[in-house]
Amino acid sequence: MKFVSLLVLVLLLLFGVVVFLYISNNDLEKYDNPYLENPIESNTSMNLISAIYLDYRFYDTIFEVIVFFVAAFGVNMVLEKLPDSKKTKPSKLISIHSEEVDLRMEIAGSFIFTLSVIFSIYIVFSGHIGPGGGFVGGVVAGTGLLVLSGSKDLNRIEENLNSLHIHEIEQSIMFFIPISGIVGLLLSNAGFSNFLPQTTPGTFFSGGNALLFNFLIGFKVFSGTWTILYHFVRHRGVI
Amino acid sequence: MFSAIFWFFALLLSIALLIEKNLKTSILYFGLFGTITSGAYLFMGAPDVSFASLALGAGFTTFVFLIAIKKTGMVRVKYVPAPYMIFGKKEELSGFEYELLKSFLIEQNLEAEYSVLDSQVINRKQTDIIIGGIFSTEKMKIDERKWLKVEILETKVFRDTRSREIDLVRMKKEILEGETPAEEFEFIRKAQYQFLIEHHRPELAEDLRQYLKELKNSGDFQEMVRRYIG
Repeated sequence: MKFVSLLVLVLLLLFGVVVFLYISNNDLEKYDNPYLENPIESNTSMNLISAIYLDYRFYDTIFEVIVFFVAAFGVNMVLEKLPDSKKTKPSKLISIHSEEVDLRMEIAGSFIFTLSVIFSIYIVFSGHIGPGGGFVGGVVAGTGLLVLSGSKDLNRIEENLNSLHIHEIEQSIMFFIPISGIVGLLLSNAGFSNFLPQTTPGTFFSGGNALLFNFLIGFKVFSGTWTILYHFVRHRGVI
Repeated sequence: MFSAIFWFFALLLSIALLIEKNLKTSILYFGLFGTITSGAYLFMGAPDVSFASLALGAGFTTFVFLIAIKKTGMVRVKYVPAPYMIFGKKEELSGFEYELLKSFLIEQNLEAEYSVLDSQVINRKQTDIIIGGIFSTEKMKIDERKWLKVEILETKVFRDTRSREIDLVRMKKEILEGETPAEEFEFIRKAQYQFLIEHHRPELAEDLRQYLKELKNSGDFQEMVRRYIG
């Protein structure tokens, strides 16, 4: 066993050395980078990072979203069939004393949830102007919802989410991405080209499709984060 | 410059994270690590990465780990039935050591599963704590190095006419029930009642020692001894 772990360590070190040598010997800037020349004029995003991952390198982002979708879907599919953990009620998750739900925790949980939702809406919709974006916003909102569910009854929150049809919307988001690609193809000659208005950099409707994609990714990541955490809480200690 | 300071603290934190034995503290260090690296990224001019590091490293991962240690939040306790210490039926145990352990586990937010110790087969993988008026480990079939001993309470060891070693609480029971007259017991030495804790959970032993210290300082410990042993 020790030999195997030593071997793995040596292989990892070798891999690291190879990657380091590759990077130091190759000029990575020789690849075609259109965003190096006048990115604001061609995309109108104030945030260059957002311009790159939502426009110039959008295929990377699509596959990242697909990876996240598959991960959340897999967690959902595997854990849904397992029984609930019997020994602890999920609502006791974060309360200080394990016996009862604490009033202080309940108030603090609602407060944190409200704050995190407002903050996440802000960073999702300003991702093309300043730092932020859909992914971070989604994680913030999902974690905030988990804080809320730790201080309140998990079942009630689940019912509320089900009545809002969050899961149906979540699963249909994956269709929006090819649809937006086709719309872009119809309106101009390339797939995924911008079809939302591109006004002055720094205003709300700038950056082309960044606004739409940030919202879609944010919602996707929010519901995915919530699904993963929710199933981990609900079925913890079962496997 | 600023980012160098942040990275230095991140390095210190990561070392602390590795040495820390208490899982909860370790997770809090991890959250702090995420926060500090996020600060470092911010000063390196990458606010987007900084946001992601804060949301994932300090928020999401901390929660996932907290949920995960809730699963290890189960302690398997094996006990030797002992009068005044731990006795009763499986669902309604009572006694000094039982109440002590119970209040400690509630403080630590852990849950316990009690079962009677089979002294012939002690499976270390199935056992975290052994309790039940243990004052000497000589006759138990355990590896001394694999168990951490936490001393709970001072006791005295006696020998009776059949050259059998017996401790204070068991002797008291035998005398009170009239099985053996009090004159037959002869005092040999002082000893300590111990909790045996599996050596893979050193943080449990450390926390228990700390808890006992606080309990003794507040006077509740003496109160418990008086109530259950007399």
